[in-house]
Amino acid sequence: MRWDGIAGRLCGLAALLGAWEAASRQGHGIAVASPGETLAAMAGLLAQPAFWAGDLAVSVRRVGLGFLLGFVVGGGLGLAAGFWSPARAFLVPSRWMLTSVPGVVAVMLGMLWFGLGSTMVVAIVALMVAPAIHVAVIEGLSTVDGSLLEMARAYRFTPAMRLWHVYAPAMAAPLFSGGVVALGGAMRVAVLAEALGANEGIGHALAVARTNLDTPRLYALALCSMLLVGLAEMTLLGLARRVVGRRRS
Amino acid sequence: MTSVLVFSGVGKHYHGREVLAGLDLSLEPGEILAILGPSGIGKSTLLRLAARLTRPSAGMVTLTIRRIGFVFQEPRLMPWRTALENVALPLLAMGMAPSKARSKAADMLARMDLATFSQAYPETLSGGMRQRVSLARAFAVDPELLLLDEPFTGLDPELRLSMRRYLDDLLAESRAAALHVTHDIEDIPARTNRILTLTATGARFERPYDQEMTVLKEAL
Repeated sequence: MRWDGIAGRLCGLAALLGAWEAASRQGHGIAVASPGETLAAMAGLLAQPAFWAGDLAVSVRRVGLGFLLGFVVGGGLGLAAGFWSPARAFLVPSRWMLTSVPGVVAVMLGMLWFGLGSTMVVAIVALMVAPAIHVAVIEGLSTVDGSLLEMARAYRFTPAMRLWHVYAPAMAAPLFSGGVVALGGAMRVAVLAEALGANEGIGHALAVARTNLDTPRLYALALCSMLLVGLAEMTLLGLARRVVGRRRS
Repeated sequence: MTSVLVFSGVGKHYHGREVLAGLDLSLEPGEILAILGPSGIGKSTLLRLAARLTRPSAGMVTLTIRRIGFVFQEPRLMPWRTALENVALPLLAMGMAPSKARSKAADMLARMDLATFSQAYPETLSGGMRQRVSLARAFAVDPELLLLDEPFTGLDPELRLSMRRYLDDLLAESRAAALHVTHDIEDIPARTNRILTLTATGARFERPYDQEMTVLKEAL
């Protein structure tokens, strides 16, 4: 049996569940819900149409919108910075500020600037995603093969053709890896923002469960948000492998 | 007859280092000019100036045609595109309809005995095959000016011979003027009209093909 593959992962998962179960038996139910209680609460959540429409869909929509906005802004500024070095220098302080600010601080400031609710969550997600995409685009542009660009110029490729056939393939790998990291971060910061300043979404449901000391539900929601991040990352990584793999094949 | 390409007193320097100075040359339609000289003498720079990939530091380059085929020292194929797509893309850049571009690219690959490799990615092709794709790309655009920058560099003697044959055949069918840069007289096609020799001392000799080949062979 190969322990560096599926078997190793299953053993790791079993050890984690075992430690979780042991912790739940040592403490009391308010601090740690058992895996069984958590799964039962999760089944209950998934059976509720209100959870799908009121929490899950709202969070996914906010993350999706914020990610898209951050991708467009970060990508656009990344292109500007990649092609024009004064723009790169000009944007360094803003990028440094956005990548350095802790998520909770960004949420606090977002609540002051945008108030409570969806606009704040979407804006915070976009602000967290944009620098990651910005950096990925700059990194991608720096890896473009100069000799291919010269060939494209010799054969009079249009700017759109150069972007699509020369720049985009070179940018694909860093953009996808940056996108995966940004998406995970976006989901985390969205849950935080919803917990602190929204009346819908998974984060809000977490905050309510904590207030009501409904520990199994709280764990179920935490697990749900983790699964959501995992699913989103796997989807994006799968897409990345297909696109980048095909282009390198 | 209007010249395809004219260099008038062209000079080029990079970061203060002079690569070319006071170069005058003209190329008529269908004429083949070989440029001989050691490495670092400015031969590739001359081609880059002709293709307008760089601007002269002095003098003027006049190009009266639009369609240029360029065969670089390395094949410069896009690794994420198939051989067919690599040949078709310059045709699309010229505004040709996609179906026509693909059909013409397929014809050119067949002409280079690469029909069965049209869907192959460059990574899966040998060095000689990649350079044949590059040659197919250059001739697919029906070039009015062909720029050849030591296209046989790095190939083994057998492949060089085979590539010379492909190039000779294509040049015979084409009406393109050509600038062929090389440092090996064996690579110069027999249908070359003139040979311009650049030397490290800055001296330049331009003679008809037969005369220069005699001089060069005697020197060897």
